[in-house]
Amino acid sequence: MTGLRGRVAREAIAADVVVIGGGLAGTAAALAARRSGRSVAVIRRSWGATALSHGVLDLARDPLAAPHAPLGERRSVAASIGALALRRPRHPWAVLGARLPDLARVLGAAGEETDGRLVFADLEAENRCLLTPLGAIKTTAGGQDTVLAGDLLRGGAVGVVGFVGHPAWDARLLAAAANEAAGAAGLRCTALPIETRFLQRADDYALRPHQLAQRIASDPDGLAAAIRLALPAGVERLLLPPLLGTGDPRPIRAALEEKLGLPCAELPAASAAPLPGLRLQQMLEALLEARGVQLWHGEVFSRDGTPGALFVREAAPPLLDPSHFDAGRAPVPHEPPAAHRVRARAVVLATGRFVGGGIRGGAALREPVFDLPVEGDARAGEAIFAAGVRIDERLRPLDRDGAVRAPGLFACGAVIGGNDPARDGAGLGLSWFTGWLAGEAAAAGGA
Amino acid sequence: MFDLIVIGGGVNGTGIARDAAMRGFRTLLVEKRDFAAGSSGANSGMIHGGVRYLRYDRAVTELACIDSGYIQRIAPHLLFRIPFLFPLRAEDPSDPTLQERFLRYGVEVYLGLYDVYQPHKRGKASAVLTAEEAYELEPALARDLIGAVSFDEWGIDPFRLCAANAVSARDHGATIRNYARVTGFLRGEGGRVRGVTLRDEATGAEEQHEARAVVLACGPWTPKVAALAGVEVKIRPGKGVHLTLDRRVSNYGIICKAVDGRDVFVMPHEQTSIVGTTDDDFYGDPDDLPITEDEVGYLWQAATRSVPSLVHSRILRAWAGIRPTLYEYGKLEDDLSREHALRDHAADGAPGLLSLVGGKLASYRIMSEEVVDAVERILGVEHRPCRTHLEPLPGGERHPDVAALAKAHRLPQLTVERIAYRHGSNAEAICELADREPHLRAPICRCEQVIAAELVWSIRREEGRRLLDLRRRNRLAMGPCQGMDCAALAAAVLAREASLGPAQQRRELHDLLQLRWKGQRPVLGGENLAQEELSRSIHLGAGGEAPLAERIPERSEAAGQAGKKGEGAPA
Repeated sequence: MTGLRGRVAREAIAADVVVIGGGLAGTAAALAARRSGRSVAVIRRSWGATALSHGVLDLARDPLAAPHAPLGERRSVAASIGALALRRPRHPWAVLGARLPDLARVLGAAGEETDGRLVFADLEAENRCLLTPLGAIKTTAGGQDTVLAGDLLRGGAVGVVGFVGHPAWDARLLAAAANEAAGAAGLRCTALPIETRFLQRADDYALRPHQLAQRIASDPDGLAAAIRLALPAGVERLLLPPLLGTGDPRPIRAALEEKLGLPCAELPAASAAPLPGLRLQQMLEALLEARGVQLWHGEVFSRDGTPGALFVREAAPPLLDPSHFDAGRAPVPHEPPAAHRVRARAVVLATGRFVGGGIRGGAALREPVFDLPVEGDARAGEAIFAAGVRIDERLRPLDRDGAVRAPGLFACGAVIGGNDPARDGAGLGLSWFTGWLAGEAAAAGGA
Repeated sequence: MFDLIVIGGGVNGTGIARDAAMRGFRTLLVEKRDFAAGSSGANSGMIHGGVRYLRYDRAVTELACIDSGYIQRIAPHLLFRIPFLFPLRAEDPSDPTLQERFLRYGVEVYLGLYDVYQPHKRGKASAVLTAEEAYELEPALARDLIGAVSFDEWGIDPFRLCAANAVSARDHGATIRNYARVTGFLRGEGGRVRGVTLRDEATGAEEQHEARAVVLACGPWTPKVAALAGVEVKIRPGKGVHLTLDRRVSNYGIICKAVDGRDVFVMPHEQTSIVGTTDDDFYGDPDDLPITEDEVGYLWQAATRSVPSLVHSRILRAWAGIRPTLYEYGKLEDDLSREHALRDHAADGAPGLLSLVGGKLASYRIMSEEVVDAVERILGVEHRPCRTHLEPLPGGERHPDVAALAKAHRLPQLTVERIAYRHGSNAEAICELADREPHLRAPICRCEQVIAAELVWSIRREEGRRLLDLRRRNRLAMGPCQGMDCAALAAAVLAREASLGPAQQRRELHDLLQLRWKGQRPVLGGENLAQEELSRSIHLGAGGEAPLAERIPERSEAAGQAGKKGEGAPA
């Protein structure tokens, strides 16, 4: 696993478009602005919610579906978005209603930019149904191709691979859950509890996902051989734990498919150390570098709440640094480093919410870069998880009086309020959409 | 037909059931939720001598100290010493006022008086310290001291104490039933209470059980249950709020002065610290205790004033319990006696019904003894001596050699250390279980060092049926991650062991996370917000939606079969 890419911000930064935040929304904004030929700099503090995500790009859960029967009545992705917008007037899907005609084009760009690794279902089709490691069903329109291929609605005879003895990957529990949820869709799941060489040492049961993935990456043929031993006749495709390596999963998947002669897909992640999320983050950073985006590691703040007085300084020790997975490094308090000027024609705020640090808690919630007003209250209970800044339909952040804060300033992703990604099922897919639109707007505004 | 039915699975109920079973009574213990799910699991976790009560109830203090000594003897593995510091503060430490000097003298004398009772509980005598000595012991103390006085107390895991009593009762022949809710009383001639009707919360089945006597030990629920028999029991319920911090911040328990002059404390408890407590009258539903931001603010202000560096730690959760103190009119909450009362409700037209209210964690055993003595009198049977202070609780027989166990079973020593703390000598059996079924070696809760074998042990041997039961038995999800990292894994272990279906597995997970959310809600902010957002993304965002109507997993076949010693001779 590689660490953070890019340079530490110890000097002034200048670009046509500066994107603050390097998760999915920020990356989409940067890629969109690059497409319009602008010079782009992405500045971020560290990895955030994208790296810790389950790695799927969901647009909207069907708000009319019964929660325990996601496959009851199936509506299209577009209808789900419409229903959500109708029921929640402050939701980004409601605010951005006029921009929906752009949706198909923007989602298509994800596939183009990532060489097909990020894909979305057709908007007129229904959400894909994925089995999660918790034995639940996650509905999503988009995601990494190796994960989306596990759509339960495709039915058929599916083998669910788990590791004998590892508490996180119990094939029987997972297969039972999939059958219960999607049996009506013609799915027949068989549990494939497999014995593997890397689970025969006493301490192997303690292995974390990335450690399992490292072992699989070093010996995909061993995994294939173990699966073959447990494989009954008649299985048409396989669902595997999301452990196909720590980098690009496609070579490992290809190796498995070749050896077994069956299509293979990964489950999405559901853990505090999710490989699909980490992989997604690494893929995005590689993409930014390949597109010639300047990648900076630093903390951005504005002295007067506008993009005109923007500064950057070396980031405080990050909340999440990849090296923390290996060694428990404690943050050391230090003097605030010197601030350097950031000059841009347009700025995109893509700092995320609480995990990313785009919205900070405390007596009152605040947005730390531009001190934008935040809708949401710690006393409001669960509603706080929809807290964020308000925008207009051109992705411009609004002040308390509803006026646009500053020309050339745009916001995207989870820093926008009104959306509770966990409840609404409108997570990284919506971030890609708002990010791309914000990037395009910034490129146009910076012309 | 039972001799005795005990209602309530808190420390008193399980204590009474154990004592009664040991004296040969055919005993049934019923609890509507789980053992220690109410007040017995929501206190400060101390077997203390009640230094606070010395002012007005010297008898309570003495009783508590004597019995604290007994509890150390029967459950040595569960107790841990917490030395306390009572800091003596001054506006200007270089020139304390007359009043401040007087207070200092008072505290020295007061704690000196407490020393009289310390030998009962193997406590050390108090020491009068200079400010410099106090700073040396606890460098985190605010620099406004003119001195400090130490005193000695004992902490305990109250959940384990209740579970150990319940299991011991069962091992002595009692029938113990969690998730069995009393719905009414069977009445006989002259209003005699001759049994209970109850509902099995897992199957919904209604049952009737007859007994010669029924004891209510339902803590704050006592008035509610007594009302089913048409009997009025009055208590003065007081709500106590605690905060759990993410780490041990001190070696000593530290007494802090709250804004209203009350004493509160910060103390180390297992791997965390606890700040407590408030004391306010509460007349709402004991099943639904609200915690306000004001209560959190009150405790936090007091704690950070005495230990300023606390601001660097994180409040993991806030939690509340109800003290079922005896009814008294007009007194301030803090001045209420912690004395207990055993009532025979024959006078209220319900012969055969007894109730026990009041008292404190540290005196549960002596109170149980008193109750069973009274039952003997009512039933007119010959007195048999109580042995609950002599026979060790399960696991308390001897302390296992942790280093040797860890080596023999190739488990991390820290893990074995924690298992041995929770399970005493049974740690050996748990390690053997992990050897026999190697997949049970898997670490589940990394904060509190819980392995799958320990969970399975609690399911098979300790009546653990729900994920929340496993949390109570083993401190699962009680550490800094509050279940974010371990809840789903533990639910999978439970599902496999108890053969739960996928929907039920999700239900168990959901309920644990709901409890976690309830505790986090009053302390949301900063890192807690980020952690909760992440936890929601993992659990809720990954499709773990609100599940179907509540269902309690049925008792598994294996549970409780092992370790039964026969049915107990009739009295």
